[in-house]
Amino acid sequence: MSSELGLLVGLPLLGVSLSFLKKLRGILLFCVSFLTLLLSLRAYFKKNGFEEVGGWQVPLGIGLRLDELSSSFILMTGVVCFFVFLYALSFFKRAPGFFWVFFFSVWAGLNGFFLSEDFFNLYVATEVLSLAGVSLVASSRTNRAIKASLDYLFISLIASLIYLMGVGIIYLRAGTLSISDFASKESPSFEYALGLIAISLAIKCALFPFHFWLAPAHASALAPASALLSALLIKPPAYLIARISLEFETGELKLIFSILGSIAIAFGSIMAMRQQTIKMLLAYSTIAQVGYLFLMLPLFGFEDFKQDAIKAMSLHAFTHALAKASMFLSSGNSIYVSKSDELSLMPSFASSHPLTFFGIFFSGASLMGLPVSGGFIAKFLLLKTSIQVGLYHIGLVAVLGGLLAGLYIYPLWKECFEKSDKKPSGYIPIWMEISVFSLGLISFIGGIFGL
Amino acid sequence: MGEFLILSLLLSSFLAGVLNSLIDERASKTRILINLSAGIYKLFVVFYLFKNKISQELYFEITQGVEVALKVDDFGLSFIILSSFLWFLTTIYAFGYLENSENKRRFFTFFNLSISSTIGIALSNNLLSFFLFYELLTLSTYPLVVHNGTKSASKAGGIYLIYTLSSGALMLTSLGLIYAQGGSASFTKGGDLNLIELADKNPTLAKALFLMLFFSMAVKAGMFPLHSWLINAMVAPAPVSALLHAVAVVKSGAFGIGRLIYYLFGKQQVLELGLYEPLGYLAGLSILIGSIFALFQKDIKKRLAFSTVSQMSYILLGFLMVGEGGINAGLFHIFAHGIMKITLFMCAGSYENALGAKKLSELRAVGRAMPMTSLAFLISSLALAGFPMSLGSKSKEMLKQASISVGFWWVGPLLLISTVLTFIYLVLPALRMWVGKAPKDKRALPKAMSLPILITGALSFAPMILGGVEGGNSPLRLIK
Repeated sequence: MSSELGLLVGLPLLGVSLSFLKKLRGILLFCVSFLTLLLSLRAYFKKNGFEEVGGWQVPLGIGLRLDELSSSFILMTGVVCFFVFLYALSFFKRAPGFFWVFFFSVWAGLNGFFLSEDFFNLYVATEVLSLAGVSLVASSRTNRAIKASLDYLFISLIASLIYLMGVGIIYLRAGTLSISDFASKESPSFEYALGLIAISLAIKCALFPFHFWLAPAHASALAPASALLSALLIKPPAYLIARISLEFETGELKLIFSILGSIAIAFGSIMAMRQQTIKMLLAYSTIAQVGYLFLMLPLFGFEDFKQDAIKAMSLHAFTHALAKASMFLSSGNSIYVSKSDELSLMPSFASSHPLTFFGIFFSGASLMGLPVSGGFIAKFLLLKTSIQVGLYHIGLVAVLGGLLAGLYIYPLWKECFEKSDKKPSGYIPIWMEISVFSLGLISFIGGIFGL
Repeated sequence: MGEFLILSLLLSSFLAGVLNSLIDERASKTRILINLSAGIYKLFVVFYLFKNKISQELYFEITQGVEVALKVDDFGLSFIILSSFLWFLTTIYAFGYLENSENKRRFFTFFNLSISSTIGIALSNNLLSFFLFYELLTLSTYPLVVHNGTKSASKAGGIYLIYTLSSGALMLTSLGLIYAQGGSASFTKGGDLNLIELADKNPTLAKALFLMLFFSMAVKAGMFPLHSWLINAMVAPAPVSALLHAVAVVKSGAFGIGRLIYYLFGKQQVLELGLYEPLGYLAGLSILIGSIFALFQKDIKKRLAFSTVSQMSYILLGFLMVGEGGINAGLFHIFAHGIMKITLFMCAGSYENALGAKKLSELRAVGRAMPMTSLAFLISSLALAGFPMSLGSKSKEMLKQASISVGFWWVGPLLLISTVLTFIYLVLPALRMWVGKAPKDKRALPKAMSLPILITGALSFAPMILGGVEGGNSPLRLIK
């Protein structure tokens, strides 16, 4: 099929329109999700490809490009979205149509983002993602959520403006927006342009010190929405920064980002340890895990170790996405039973709900970067290459970050086992458990298969 | 064939673990069937490997240039024999012990997964595989430590995680350092060539690597001052303490130190780096301190745990007295201590189950009520203290002999002191069990609990009485 890559964006868009149906919605949307998952798998195994949408040639038309880095991000999106879909089917007994609209917009936006190869399409995809993200946060309709979503909206708009400024400079000077075309030209003002773009991306990614909007937004959304936000929506900006680092010489900026990443890991982990509610804990964990994606940036600058760095990045992103989605969905299970987000009221899943427990167990281990998860291989590669190139702080932070993760995952595991009369117990719909379990399991054993 | 056998060793208990997680909580018969058949199958494979040498290796590449390597060699096989055999007995014991308790499904799942990780550790043929299974062991034993779900169990679990994850981080760092130099740290008799070269070129780095690896493994081995997790972990159910905290987990640490000295750096290099001496002193200190602390414990299992701290350091001391004698003494004590200590822990579990007794003071005259169990306790205590003709006395003899070649003159007197202390903290309470009036309200114990105790109890003396341990049919023939 010649328009496979186009379909990766097109099918979810079809899902958006199908969301307005009243009858047959569930089954049709399931078909759309399943087909998109299959396409993502196919794209992952194909690993490279280039396609011009509708036959219009670049630069006038839209070019979609698939390579090693983007294919693993596509797969990550596919797997997470598919299981979140299954989960949400049970979670919203009578699903409000608007959830599906935003859900499929996110999916389409993500696939579009990872396949795009010019700065303008990337911008469009980012805007789609931001708006869908803001709406997802607001859809839980509590005061807290509305406030958080407004903050999120403003910060995204500011970031978008900065981004546009960068893109404007590039277009003025280089006359092109395609990343690969642009990489071949040189001009001193590009550094400023790239700097602006990078800063805007760091804001959208909630890299320390731009993290303040993330925790309230991710924690106040409903569980399936939080899973999408925390697992997937923070990945595109990091992906683009990695792309830029691969193509351009941005020496000092990379180092600054790497240091900010280290601070993010320490800060996020320590804040996560101090939280009393499950979702805030997980949201701070996301701030910490975003740090890794920036921590490893300097390694992209070394020709000999590019491959290792790409591998580490895609492994970390994939493992974190699945594990964090599993965690947030499990927080939904906990709230489903106890009607509360309190950590101490989390049901003793290890005795009552084995599937959810194993989901939390596996995804916790993946977040810590224990073998055999992909997180472990990523950590190992980071450690090895950072010693080889002499940037020891990267390896050190990666190892210590794993330990810190252990400290904030421990309360979750502890609550799974602890028995107490205060703790509620009750029925959880089976597909909600299966989604949690599958995401956790895949994130944990993914390392064996090089995911 | 060889590949199939290696995988069977690893997968038989792994699959049993997965099956255990699938069956219903109340399906006791199916559970017994699964666990026993996996156990018997594994023993059969182990027996075959013992009789027929296979030299096949298995490789899985995880990512470019990083691979997991598995192989059966004599050093590993001896550990596999010990853990498979004792695992089988403990499984039987656990059926009895957990008869009326909840969450059996979860327990047996993780019990099988942890033994699978232990076998993986024994099979590992390079440091990366070792590390992989070492972390998996942490992961699969954590749920067993917190099995009871009480506050103190959670706390013990937290301490356990902090210790083991930190040791894992230390090992990972050294792995990164080794791979960054282009090495792959494979276990080769006499030492890994890359590391030998490194030790020649850059002795400081080699020393640092050796120390990091040593201490990361010493954590699991429960060596002083890294033993605190072990004492806390005694809140776990008795079968867990018996198999994991006397055999699988702590022995994995000691086993790793054996690999580190004899298969990673090699005797020659360890002697040249000169670290064996200060570490030997530390092991000696650990022997002494473990025994002294044991004197003051009122809880039986905690006393046994401190005794483990002390006895594990016998093994480490053995390995650290670099030479043929040292490795043999260490390996022998892995066997000896495993058999003796598992008996003691299982006895402690039986007392707790039958009488609700956790403190030594509650065990007065228990010998009248539970004669077989108490006899096994007495025999194993005597053996542990080094009574003539016991496994314990043979280890002490071997250790003394090994100490001559490296000039550790203090080992003889130290062992004497430790013997006296062991008599005081273990044999005296064991004797006191036979004096006084028998306790009345005793719960009848299932046979599944007494049989394993009698077997391992007898084994702490039988091999020596029946004609030594060096014979061709003894599993100890692997210890040359």
